[in-house]
Amino acid sequence: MESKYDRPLPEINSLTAPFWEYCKKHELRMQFCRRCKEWIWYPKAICPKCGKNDQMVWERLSGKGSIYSYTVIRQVIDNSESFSKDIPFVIALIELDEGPRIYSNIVGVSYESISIGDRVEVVFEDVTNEITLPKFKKL
Amino acid sequence: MQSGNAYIGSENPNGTLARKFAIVGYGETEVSRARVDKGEKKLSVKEYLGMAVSLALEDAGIEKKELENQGFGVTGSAYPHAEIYSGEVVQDLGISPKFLIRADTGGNSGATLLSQAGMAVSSGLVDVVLCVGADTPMNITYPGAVREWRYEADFQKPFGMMGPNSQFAFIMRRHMHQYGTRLEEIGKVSVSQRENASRNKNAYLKAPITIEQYMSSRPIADPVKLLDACIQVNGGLAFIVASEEYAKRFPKEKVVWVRGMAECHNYRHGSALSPDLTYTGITVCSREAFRIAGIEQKDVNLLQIYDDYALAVIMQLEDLGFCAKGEGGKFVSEHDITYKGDLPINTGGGQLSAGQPGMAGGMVHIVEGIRQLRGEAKERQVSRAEVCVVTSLGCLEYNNTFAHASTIVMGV
Repeated sequence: MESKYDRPLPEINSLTAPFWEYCKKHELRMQFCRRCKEWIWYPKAICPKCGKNDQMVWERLSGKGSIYSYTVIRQVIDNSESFSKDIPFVIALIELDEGPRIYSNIVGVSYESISIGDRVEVVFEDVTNEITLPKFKKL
Repeated sequence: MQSGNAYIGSENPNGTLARKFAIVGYGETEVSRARVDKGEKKLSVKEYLGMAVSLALEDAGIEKKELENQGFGVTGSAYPHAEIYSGEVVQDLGISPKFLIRADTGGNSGATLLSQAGMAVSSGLVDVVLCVGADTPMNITYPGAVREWRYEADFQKPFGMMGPNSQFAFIMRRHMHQYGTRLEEIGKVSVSQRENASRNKNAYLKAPITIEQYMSSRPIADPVKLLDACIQVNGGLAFIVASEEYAKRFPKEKVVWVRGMAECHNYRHGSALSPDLTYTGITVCSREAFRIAGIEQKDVNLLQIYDDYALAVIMQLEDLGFCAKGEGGKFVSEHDITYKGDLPINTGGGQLSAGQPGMAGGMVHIVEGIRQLRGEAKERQVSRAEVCVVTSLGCLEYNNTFAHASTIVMGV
């Protein structure tokens, strides 16, 4: 854990807190509507399919998926200066095996070895006392 | 082309908006990057709003007092203002409308104003609506000024997402992967639009570029390079929307008709959870707008296509039905899309070259469409300009393309 983490952090509120609490336990969970059998990501107040919230639960995912698309960040913008020391780095849109897609970093490899379709698995980075970020490594 | 029965789109047979409406004036200010060191002006958003309104009134040949107790609409502004914004703008401009709208649909904001203004004049609520957009993204001096979506702040920026360039990169990568779209094809959009801009004295970037310059331009967020992206400018635009009856007082050559218009928001192609990132809502709303206007693709003389990125033009040519999905790159390579070509697109240079005045960016396309249809585009005038299709997009989504999409069919 870095002593002074200087990058943008999410705001934790009642809607998003369960996600971040599970991340702290190194579990990847997302909302799931038992009525619709639908995963929901990012966190929502009601199921986008049935419009209700009475069957929504936080279900665990395998943490495995494939890269659907990705970018290599080459320059920072004003409000994210702290990322400049990482450049170039990869943000991928990962399609989890259960269906939902999540944006995250691919860590542990150079951007040159990344392609669409690559298999990846979640790894957890404890960046502050409150926040653990779900990142991904190649399988 | 039929002259009657054009209206804002709805499949609802009970829709009561079956009246056409007109645009009877426009204004476009000079643009600037606020580079005072280069002799450029650094003006406030209030000055751009004021100038755009003055220019539109002058163009329409009407007095400001004719807008009293009528309609007024304004886009948002990226530079920080109170969320309660339109109330300040009407004080600034000295306008007391009975119908007041503010658009918050990003690049689609100009189309939102046009759509709602069209409904207001078609319903008989008002005769005329003054719509204005101005923004000064180059004046933003501190990071907190940049507003963001909650999904961006909570679930993108912690991983280093760097705004629209990086958000669009996922779409561009996917289109290239699924269809084999080549950089040379995408770059032709940038090169062609710059050629158009070279004939537009109000374009910020006028110097012609080559495909080699496009290919070697600075990488920002792969595969997005500098010359894939629009260039932000300070500026303002306005247009005046009128009912059919009110439009009769204007010279015929100054009147442009909206023959069909439709919007589509939060369109997801395929499944809601795993949509195809190569489609926009233009897929849906263009069909509706074309049907209402009674036109087909072959009837279109020129297009003003929302161009925050060069690839967005290619995607929308597919979504508009000018070619099959995935063949937009090939389509562009086989056509001359400059002002003098067989299918002119973004004849003033678009946002890629003329510039994107922040939240007013989509009005660049609407105003250039009006100018072309009125035959006032001077050295970049399209030889036959009777039917012009304008599109707008806005709000880069989480795991999708754009939350907002509009198609406008304009004609003389």
